[in-house]
Amino acid sequence: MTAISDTGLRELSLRGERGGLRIPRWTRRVAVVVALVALWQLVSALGWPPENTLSSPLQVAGAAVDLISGGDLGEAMATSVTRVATGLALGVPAGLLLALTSGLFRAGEDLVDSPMQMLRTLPFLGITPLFILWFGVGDTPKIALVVLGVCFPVYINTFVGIRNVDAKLVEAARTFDRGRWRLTRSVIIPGALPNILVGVRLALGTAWLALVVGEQINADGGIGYLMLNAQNNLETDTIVVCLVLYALLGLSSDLIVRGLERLLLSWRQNFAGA
Amino acid sequence: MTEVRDIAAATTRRAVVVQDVHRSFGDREILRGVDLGVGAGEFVALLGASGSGKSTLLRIIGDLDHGARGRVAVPARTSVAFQEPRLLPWRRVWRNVAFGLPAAGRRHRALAALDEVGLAHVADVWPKTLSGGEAQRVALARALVRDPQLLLLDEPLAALDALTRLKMQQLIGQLWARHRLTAILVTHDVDEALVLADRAVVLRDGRLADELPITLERPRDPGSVHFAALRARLLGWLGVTAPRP
Repeated sequence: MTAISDTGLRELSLRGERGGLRIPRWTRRVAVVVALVALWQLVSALGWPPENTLSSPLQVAGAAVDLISGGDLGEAMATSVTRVATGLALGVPAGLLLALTSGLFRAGEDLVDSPMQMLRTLPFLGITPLFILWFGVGDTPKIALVVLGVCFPVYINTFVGIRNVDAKLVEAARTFDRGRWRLTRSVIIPGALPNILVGVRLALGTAWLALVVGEQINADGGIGYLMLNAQNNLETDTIVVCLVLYALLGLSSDLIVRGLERLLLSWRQNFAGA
Repeated sequence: MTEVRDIAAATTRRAVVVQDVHRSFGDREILRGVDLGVGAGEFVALLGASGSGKSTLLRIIGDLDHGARGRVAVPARTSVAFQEPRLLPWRRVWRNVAFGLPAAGRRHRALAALDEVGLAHVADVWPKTLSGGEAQRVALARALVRDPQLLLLDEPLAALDALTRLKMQQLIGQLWARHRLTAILVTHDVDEALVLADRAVVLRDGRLADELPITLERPRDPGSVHFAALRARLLGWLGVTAPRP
């Protein structure tokens, strides 16, 4: 056997399997957040920015503890979550139903699609003044705003999903089962499901956005009410607590849809078989 | 549907009757009066150049294209296998096979059909994990599980590699014989037609232009002299002349 160093070739540096201690990726992610908050605390402690512009993290944490123990935060959160949930419960099925009508039937498309496309170009938050005039200042205008905002992303993505279902699959399925409803249920809806879930995810983002706007324009309970009060009393710590709460609620609703995706679309990822 | 029954009655022991079928796409008339009768239990290979309308004719017979003129009669139970497997990716393999079957005993029937194509062991996997040949065999099981009287094959082997294709040819031959099916196979592959079919018909200029009974004994040997002679004739009709040695 010739010594490899005698060959005159360039020897590659092989390192073997990477062993030893490796830092898990999540620690790095958490570390960034912690570092940013620490920096914010440091800057606040040095007296910049002024307290009535932005409170320090410690003050925010203190305000959060007060709000939680006083029950204000829980109450506001319950009100807001109920509004979003009601809006989603009405808006998502409405978008789905409209998309099924226009996606499955040509006549439905002619009747439904062009009005939907026209309304879609309208920035839906612009309709808030009208909703206040129509529905007053209670829960109704806020829920209506969520319904309106949620309906369009679900509609558009579901419609695209239905029309993107492979015509060859539909044709093949039709040779084996001619029932229209069964075809819709077992071929078209599952085929459109990836797009439907994208629509639902976008809808959740829009839902919280609609609620924030709705609750701050005429405050009547909910997180927005808490924020508006804090604004009037120059309590920047409470405002930040509310912002963090909005972020956490948005994040958790996104996690729910991701879990749904993993559950319902396992056929796309699961390569463990065979 | 008395008309359809009339045609069937007039031609005894026919599994498929096609009379004077025309089909146009825009200005182009693809089929210009096709007549074809297929006997019960017969295996017919339908050949023709690209764009000759052979797949169009198969789709009409398969009740997938209703834009044609003329008359067509087929048995009550017809199954189709396409060039692509066309499995529903969100249904496990056995549920694809069982698609459209009545609920009672459908898993059992699906497993039996999968067993026939040698794939009972993949019943519970997702279709995406299958190889091209396996997926096509599952599609074949899906076609057979509903016990069809007529099996329509639209170039089901065209996308497979050469080795898999030979194995699939054997499998199709066995299944056809065992189930006493009537079969129509659309193909580009002259050898495939000669291995499987009782009769080859060539579609040209929108009509059935040529017809070749294949009386070779089964199983057929593509290396035999008779086989070579038939191959040369079919290729000649399709516009391919073999180089003289």
